Amino acid sequence: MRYLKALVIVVVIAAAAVLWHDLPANTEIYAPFDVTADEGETATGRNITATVTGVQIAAEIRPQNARPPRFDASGVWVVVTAEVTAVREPGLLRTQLLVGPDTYAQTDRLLPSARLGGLMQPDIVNRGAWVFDVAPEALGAVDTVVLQVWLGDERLDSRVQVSIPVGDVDRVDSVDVSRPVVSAG
Amino acid sequence: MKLWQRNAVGAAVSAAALTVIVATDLWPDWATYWDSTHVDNIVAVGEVGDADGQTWQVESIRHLNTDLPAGTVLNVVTVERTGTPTEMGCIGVITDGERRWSAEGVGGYGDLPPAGISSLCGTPGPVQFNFLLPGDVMPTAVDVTDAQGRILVRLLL
Repeated sequence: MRYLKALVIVVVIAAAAVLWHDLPANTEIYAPFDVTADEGETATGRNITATVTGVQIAAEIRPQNARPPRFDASGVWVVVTAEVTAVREPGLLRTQLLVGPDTYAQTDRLLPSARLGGLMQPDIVNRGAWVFDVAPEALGAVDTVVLQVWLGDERLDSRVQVSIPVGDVDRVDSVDVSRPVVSAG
Repeated sequence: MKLWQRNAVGAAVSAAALTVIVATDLWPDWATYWDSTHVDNIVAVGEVGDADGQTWQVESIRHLNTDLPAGTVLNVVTVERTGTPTEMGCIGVITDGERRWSAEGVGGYGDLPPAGISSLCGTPGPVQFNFLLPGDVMPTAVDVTDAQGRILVRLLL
C-alpha cells in the first residue's frame, strides 16, 4: 500500500511537470476572437465593423495632395481600401498584413492624415486606404494574404480577419490614394 | 503534528497566498474596471453636483452642423466647474445609454474653447467638450473620466 501511494505521488508530480512545460503561451491565452470575412463582405465583432472594398498591387502610389506626388515602393505596394467603424465605444484603429510568416505594418511614408487610422467612434464610418510595402518574393510565395483589423487592445476582443487571394488582386502601374473620408454610418 | 493540524496550516497558508495575489495583482485592475462602468456621482439636469472635490454643472449645450462630415452633428457641451481638482486632466465621454463617444481631441472637429475654458481639465474652472455624433443620436449624459477611464461624475443632459 505504501509503495502504491509513493507511485501515485510520483505519477501526479510527473504529470504536473509535463503539463507545466506544455502550458499555452500568453499570446494564446489572451488571443483575440477572429471574425473572418472575404473582400467585399462586412465583418462585425464586439466593437468593430469593417469591410474591405478593394485591393490593388502597384509599383507606385499617388497620394492625394502629397509631396512628392508619387511614391515608389521598396518592394511593391499593396493598397487596401476599406470602411471601418466602432460599434459601442471609441477605439484606436490597428491593422497589419500577414504575408506567409511575415507581418507587415502599414507604411509610415504617408502622413497620418493620409492613412486610414486614428480613433474610431460608434456609427461614424471612416473610408480610406492602408498601404503596405511588401517584399515581392514574399508575395510571390503565397496564394493568400491576410489583413487583420481591430480597435485598441485586441486581447480577448474581436479582430476582423480578411483573406485576400493574391491571384485575384488587380495589378496596376499606379494607384491613387485618397485621404480618408468620414461620415455618419 | 496530526493530519488535521497539517491540513489547517496548509489551508491557512493557501488562503494567505490567495489574499496577497488578489490584493496586489487582481484588485487594482478590477477596481479600475468597476469605476469605469459604475457611477457614484450623478448630477441631474439643471442641478449642481459634487465630485472629486469640485462642483459640476452643465452650463450649455450647443448643436453645430457646419463644416462637418455628412450626417453628423457637433455637440458642444460646456461644463461649469468650481473648486480645486485633486487630479489634473480629464476626458469627456458622451453616451446615449448604449454607445459611448469620446470628445474630439486637439485638431479634431469644432473650435478650440475660448480663453479661460479648458478642453481636458488642464486648468481649474470651466471645461468644454466637442462631441461629433451621428445626427440621429439622442445623448443622455456626459461622463467626465480620468485618463484610466474611471468615471468621476456623470452629468445628465
